[in-house]
Amino acid sequence: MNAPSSRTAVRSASVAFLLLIAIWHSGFAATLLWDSEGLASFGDVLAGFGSPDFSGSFLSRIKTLAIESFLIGVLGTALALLVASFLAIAAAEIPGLEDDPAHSPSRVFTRHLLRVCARGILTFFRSIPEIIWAYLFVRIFGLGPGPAVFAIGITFGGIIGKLFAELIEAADPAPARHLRATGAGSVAVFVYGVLPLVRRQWVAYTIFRLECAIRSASILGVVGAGGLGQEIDLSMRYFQYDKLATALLAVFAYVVVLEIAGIYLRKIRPAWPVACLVFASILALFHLDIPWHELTSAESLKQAKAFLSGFAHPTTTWPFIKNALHLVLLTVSMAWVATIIAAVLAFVLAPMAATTFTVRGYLVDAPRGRGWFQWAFLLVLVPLRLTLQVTRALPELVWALLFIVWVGPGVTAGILALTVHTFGILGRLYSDVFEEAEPAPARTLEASGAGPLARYLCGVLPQVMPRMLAFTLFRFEVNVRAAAMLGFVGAGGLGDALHTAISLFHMNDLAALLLVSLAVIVIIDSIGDWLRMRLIRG
Amino acid sequence: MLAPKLVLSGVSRRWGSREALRDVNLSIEPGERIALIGPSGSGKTTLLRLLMATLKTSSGSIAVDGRAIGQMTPREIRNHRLRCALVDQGAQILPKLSVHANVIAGSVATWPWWRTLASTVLQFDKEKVAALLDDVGLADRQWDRADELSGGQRQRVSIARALAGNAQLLLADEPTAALDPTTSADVIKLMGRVTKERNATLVISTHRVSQVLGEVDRLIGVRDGEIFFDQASDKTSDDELQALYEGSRERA
Amino acid sequence: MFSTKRQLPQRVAIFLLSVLAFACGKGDSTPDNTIRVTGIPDENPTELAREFEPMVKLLEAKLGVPVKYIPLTDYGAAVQALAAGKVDFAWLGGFTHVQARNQAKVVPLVMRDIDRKFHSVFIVNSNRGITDVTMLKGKKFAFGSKSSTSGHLMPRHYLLSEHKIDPDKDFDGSPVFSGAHDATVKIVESGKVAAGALNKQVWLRMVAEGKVDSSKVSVLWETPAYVDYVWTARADIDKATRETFSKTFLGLDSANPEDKKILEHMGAKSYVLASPSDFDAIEEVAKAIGMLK
Repeated sequence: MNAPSSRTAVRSASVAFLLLIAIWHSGFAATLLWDSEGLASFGDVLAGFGSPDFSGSFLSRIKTLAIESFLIGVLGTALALLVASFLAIAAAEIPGLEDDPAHSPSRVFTRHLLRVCARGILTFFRSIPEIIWAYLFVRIFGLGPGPAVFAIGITFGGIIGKLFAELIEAADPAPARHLRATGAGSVAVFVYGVLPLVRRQWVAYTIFRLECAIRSASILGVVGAGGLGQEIDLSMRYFQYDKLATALLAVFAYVVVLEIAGIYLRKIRPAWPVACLVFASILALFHLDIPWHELTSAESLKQAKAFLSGFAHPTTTWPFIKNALHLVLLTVSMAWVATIIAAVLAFVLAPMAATTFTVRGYLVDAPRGRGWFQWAFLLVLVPLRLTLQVTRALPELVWALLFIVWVGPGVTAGILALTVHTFGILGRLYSDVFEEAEPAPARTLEASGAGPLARYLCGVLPQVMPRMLAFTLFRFEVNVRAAAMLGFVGAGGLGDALHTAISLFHMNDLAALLLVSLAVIVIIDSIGDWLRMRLIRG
Repeated sequence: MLAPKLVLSGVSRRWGSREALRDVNLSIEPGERIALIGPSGSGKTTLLRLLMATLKTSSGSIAVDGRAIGQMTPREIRNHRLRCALVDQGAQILPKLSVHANVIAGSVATWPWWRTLASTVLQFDKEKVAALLDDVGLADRQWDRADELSGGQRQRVSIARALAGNAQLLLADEPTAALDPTTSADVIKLMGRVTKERNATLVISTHRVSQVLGEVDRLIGVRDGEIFFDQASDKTSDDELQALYEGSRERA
Repeated sequence: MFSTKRQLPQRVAIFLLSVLAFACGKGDSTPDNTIRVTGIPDENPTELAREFEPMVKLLEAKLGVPVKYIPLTDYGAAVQALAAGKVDFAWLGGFTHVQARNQAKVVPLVMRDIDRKFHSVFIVNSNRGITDVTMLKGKKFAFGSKSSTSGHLMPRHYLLSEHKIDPDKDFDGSPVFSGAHDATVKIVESGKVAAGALNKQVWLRMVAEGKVDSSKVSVLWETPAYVDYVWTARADIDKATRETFSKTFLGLDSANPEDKKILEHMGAKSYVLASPSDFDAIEEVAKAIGMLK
């Protein structure tokens, strides 16, 4: 609708072109979806839902595992909070006086070095998906909830730490400067000058991440790290679809309960969720068998040394690096294809799921007219909302396992899994954006007799487009990491190579793979940050 | 298309316990030129919204060419809204879109869905829009962003949109409240001219009676949700206007 | 420092909940003299637990201390557990044994008679009409676990050396790793892949127990013999315990009906001593094809 529509056209064309390139590069074969054998085996999975295993012993095992998952998520977040706070304080530039005579050049340098290191560690921690950490820790600490807790602690520590550091730097520097000027030490400056300013945001963000961590904990068992994921992996591997159905229903219920609890927790005073976090962490501390002593045992230190020494001598033979680059690009292609397809689907379907466009309308208490057909929208609305809910609730890893049954292992299964999950997420994000949109333009259009389509395209879309694009872009970045982890269950891409390297103890290969993917992730993130900044500023 | 004949019989509208309109009986002939006057909160806006069928009546009925709004199908309601157009203080502007798109929005409602979709990439009716903008005095602003225009220009865009949609009932809700005197006189004149040219009905709600007197031939005074007087504009005395404003509950 | 009066009840609540949480905690108590054993998870966990149960009982009787089977779902975790001293004895495959001895001091103890001349079988989905190993080119193929000797290392080795098939290049896509031997049978049976390779003994047992649909899956080829599974102990376990452990297995006599049951369960006729040099050949192979670095 904008006047210089040639620019829009060029942009759409380049996105479409990149999509085609990525489809070609990844070898995405949607036709596998119509493969009769695949359909038959997927039919078997669905048949499992016809007679889920509701035997008492299995249900009680599922219950135990669900509780374990929950506790893993909580304790993992508590650990992440510790990691994040320390690293964030080290990584953030705490405001000080300009040209403080108390700062000798060497001290400034040390401080700067510390900051750079802490930032590096944060990036490293959060760039590697938790499932990779989990598998690595399974190798070091053995099976059970411990590796999952450590994995969440590290990945989420990196994620939370980054935001904590950003919040510190965004805070008003005046109080810290005042304190510095009175001669307060670093601790005092932080505790009285910085913490009070960021505390509220820190708590809010931690609660948000807590929800993500608990969700993530439900699937880490796929690599043997405790929780519900174990049962999904086993029942899938041995084609016990009745058990699989029960396990999937359990994950679904788990996520839905979590979501409802999350909505509630965000409404009440933040002190209560914090109280719950503390309580549940302590409970988890005793309930879960976490090998804390292993963290400092000679054997673990040896393993940690082996892991780190891989980074001292990463495999640098050209064929290997070439292959690694190929795999990383493949992973990026997977994420790109999935994100774009999901975004297009969500773009078309999300407005249909929003009642304001279809049923409710923007006018307050306006005459709707009589006739049965206004209810016909419900026929679309209800199934659509249900689909969005289900696709969002089951993690991409679970979708990957299901699509492996359907289309066989490989890139296609991975792309489909990412697409389906991303569709659910974006559908939700888009409808949130629609609801936040200024209603006046759409109201104007409705008052002048415009239909739902015109209301969407002319009234709402122009205002929210930048934010929708920003969300989509962000999701693409998330999907790059997710695509790397799908390989762990056989859905193609980088994850498969990472899995091989870890399972065969090829630490030099692992280091090389991680370094290459780290580089690519950092590049993509910076491009994404830049683009999003431009989008939002419009 | 002829302008609609509107008949309001016993119309009331309540917001919770507050009565915004009480037992209004009114008939508006095609092509009539009316000014709604009265203090703030007297019910003018509510009346305009009822006329556009963007608000339900609490009791009583509004007939459009003999068909009651309450009995209409959604399609009929949309068709009625299509024949109406609203000009207000400027909130009607669709943000982030060009002036062209804002004018086109008036006719979007009449398009089939595929044309609406196509309009996101293609530009339709460039000449028509240019002509309309020329008519309202915005000839060179077609490709500027509408939300960057000044108040008076926004009103002109709203008017152009109404014309693009071929509106037969132009409703103006205190269109000049935020404008300087010269601009507001221009805008009112413009509305008077374009409706006269097209034999459309004009209903302007305003406090500034003097500005509209030249353009309308019927004055309806509204006070506390009731019709206070309803007569030809040249027969209304200053005393009546005085009484309209002074006896209001709002002032008391 | 941030305290206000309004927050006081919440603090009290947090404190009380914490106390409650501590009270709910439970201590962990495993007797110190317990012998912990494990095995690589080459089959599904329920099957493994069933296999280990009689052995655990036998060992408890002979060693006179509690024996605990620790279930694992990852090959590498078994290696790591042994190397890290989290288990004392582990039933490892040839390749995992080599991995373990490259990471820590371990000693091979005993193996089944069949492990000296172990084979892998290549199975195919009967619908695919594959009659020869070279026809596997361009088909989808499944191995077991990446760290499996009979499910991955040796089949890969023999595909390369005997048939000049490079699994990373000549199949339809990368090979699939089912994770375990019985899972390989299932995935071939389902038709998801055309063929797969697995441990011959697991195959024979599954056929005997009627767990294979013989109309859907058949054997295509059997590899030459190599050395596989072995009970491995950490070198720092005292020698007497190690010897008692070995003797327990070596003493199993197929003439004795009770022993026979255990042996049959393991698919063996007797147990024999293993020596470190038995696994040199596997180490060579693993290095040659790049699985051991």
